[in-house]
Amino acid sequence: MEKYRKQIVPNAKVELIHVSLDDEEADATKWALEGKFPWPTVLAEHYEETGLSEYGAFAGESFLVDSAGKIVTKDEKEAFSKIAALK
Amino acid sequence: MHMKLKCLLTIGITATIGVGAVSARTWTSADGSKKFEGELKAFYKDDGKITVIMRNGHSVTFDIAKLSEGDQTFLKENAAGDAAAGGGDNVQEALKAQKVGSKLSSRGLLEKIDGQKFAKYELTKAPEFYIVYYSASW
Repeated sequence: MEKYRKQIVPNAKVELIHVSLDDEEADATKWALEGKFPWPTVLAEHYEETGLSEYGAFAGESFLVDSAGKIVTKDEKEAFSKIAALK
Repeated sequence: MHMKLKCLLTIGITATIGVGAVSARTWTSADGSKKFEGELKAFYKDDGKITVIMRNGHSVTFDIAKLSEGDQTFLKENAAGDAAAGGGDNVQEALKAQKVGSKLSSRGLLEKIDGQKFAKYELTKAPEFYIVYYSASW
């Protein structure tokens, strides 16, 4: 959360998109409220439409992708290093 | 202090009380006496103005001269040279040119927690990169 606030929010060159894999919106909402998720979210009902399903990710995973959809890295530490270098 | 800024800062300070945490930056007035939180929505470089989404969800637009030197530097370094941060219309145009952004923006597929439920959300920047984070309650 702190990384999001300090490294993503003020950086115009990167955004975090959260994909909820909960089938039920009520579950996704409860989960988001408990976690105080501040980021944009794609709910499961729209998952396929966003094209983000093509990565076949599991819950807990995160990818850094470019605006063309190409995966830059699946390593979180490397992703934030790249983000820090974007400024 | 200018009345309009006083009003803005009052709104900002009020908005920080009793409202759930959202992604935001803490902005400081030019004289350093006031602070408020809000998310940068657009930077109108030519006009020297910005639009900030306050924590209560309201958008306010004002001259960046009313902000501290640090905030103005932040804007110039992080948004001024970036066409994607030039304003709402520019953001949408830039997003449409992206494979990822076009899907996320044009179809209104994004949501964000607003109060106790999800509400439709539009991206406020057209980034070069996205961190895609997958999670579930189970």
